[in-house]
Amino acid sequence: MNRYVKYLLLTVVIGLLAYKSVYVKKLSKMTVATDEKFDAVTFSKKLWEERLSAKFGSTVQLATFIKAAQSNPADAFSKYTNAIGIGNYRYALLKVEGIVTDINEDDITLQVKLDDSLMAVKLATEFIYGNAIRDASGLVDVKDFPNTMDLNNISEELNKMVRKTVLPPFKAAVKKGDKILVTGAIEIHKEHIKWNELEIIPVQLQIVQ
Amino acid sequence: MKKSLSYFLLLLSCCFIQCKSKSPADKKHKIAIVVSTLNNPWFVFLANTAAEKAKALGYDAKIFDSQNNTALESDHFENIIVAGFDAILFNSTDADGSIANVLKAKAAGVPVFCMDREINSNNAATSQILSDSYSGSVAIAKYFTQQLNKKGNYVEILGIVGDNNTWARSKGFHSVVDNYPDLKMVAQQSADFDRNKAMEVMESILQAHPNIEAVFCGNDGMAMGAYQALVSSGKADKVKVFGFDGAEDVITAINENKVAATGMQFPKVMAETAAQFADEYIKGRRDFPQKIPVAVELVTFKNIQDYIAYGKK
Repeated sequence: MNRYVKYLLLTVVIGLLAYKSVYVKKLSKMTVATDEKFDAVTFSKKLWEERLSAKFGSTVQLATFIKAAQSNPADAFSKYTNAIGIGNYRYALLKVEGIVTDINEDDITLQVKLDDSLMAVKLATEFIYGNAIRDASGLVDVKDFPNTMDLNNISEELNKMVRKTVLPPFKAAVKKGDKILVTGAIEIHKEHIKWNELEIIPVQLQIVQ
Repeated sequence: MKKSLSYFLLLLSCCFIQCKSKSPADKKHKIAIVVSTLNNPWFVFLANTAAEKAKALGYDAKIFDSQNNTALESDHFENIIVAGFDAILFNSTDADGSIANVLKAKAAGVPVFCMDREINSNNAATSQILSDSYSGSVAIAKYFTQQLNKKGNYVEILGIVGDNNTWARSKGFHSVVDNYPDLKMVAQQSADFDRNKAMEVMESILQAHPNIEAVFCGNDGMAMGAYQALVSSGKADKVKVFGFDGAEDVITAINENKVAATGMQFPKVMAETAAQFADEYIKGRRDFPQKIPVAVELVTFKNIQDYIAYGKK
């Protein structure tokens, strides 16, 4: 009898230990838990509505930036540009006023007046990708994001907002000869500056006339 | 008794001499460079640059080749810890499998600085200096879509499936091309970042899908392998090849209009930053960002004059 009690107790103890040692959870629940760590959609929407739009008033004019970069590139890049990583690409948030001279499938050509000359600048209307808006904003710090994908997702969400909310009404209304005001981001290679290839990723668009 | 005392004093003196000769002030610090493979010129360049920078900073430097084998990498880490290296500049074999090795070093008080290849942990390595593979592939994909006029069949050749760079590149690429429904991926296969395997994979894909417009490869080695398969099948002029790395043969191939584009990584920047961080750690700095992206630049026939292999002119 004692032997059976002993075996029974032993079984209960082993059972309890096994029960306490092993946890079974649905893999789908674990995946959801991982996904919930960072909500790029909410973060980017908040960044756009509360912090990015607040910067529009103080954004530098394209002509001012070009002039500064031509006279003292290091100073201009330090003052007007930003990048969250290491490398040659720098990003700037700029204001541009120009006349629409061409409407193409993927972009619009603007004629922009500089101090004493005219310059053709591309406004991207199709390929809104990359880190230009995220980095130019200067509002995202790499130290706050140990997961690289979170940083990528912020870029992707900001770009989506441009593709889905900023561009459709503008593309439907814009025509040749219109004067437009753009606040947008540019990517610029600090070692190989090519002003004639400048492309603006729009953040805010306004047709003036 | 006097004789014993003399022996004892002599022995004690020897101990003091020995201790003095091994005092930390006189000891030359050592940095280990553990690299996933030396069977690929890109990683040879990464490892050699890291070693040269460590030596220039006044350290002894030794390179360990993991031969794409996590078990061998684990042996290297054990030997490095036992041998008393002061820091490890690390290019991992597996984003998950290598974490245990890094944690082992951390427990032994040896800081680890990852170069190029990411590990899936935010508290194991002291810092990770990584190519921004995702953004680099976004730039390639934008050019890819423009070159194909937003339509056509294409193939994707992936790298090692356990490596984060493989998926960062693939995800970055698809974050653009998947927005264009007329771009159709007819095959997606892994060739383990290996040129010969990529050639075999491409040969077999071409038999099943002879009508393709382009192939996106996760590295330049595979791009060259795919290009060789296209040459053999007489399709090299019709199919556009896209790579990733900025390796010497692809830079030459872009210049000759054989390869359409690549994403230029900067192994020199990553290796030198890692060595610099190790030096700063040894000298007392502790506040390192967990991950630092290093920009990847799009190289095409249009801007090839600005670049040389593994970097810019």
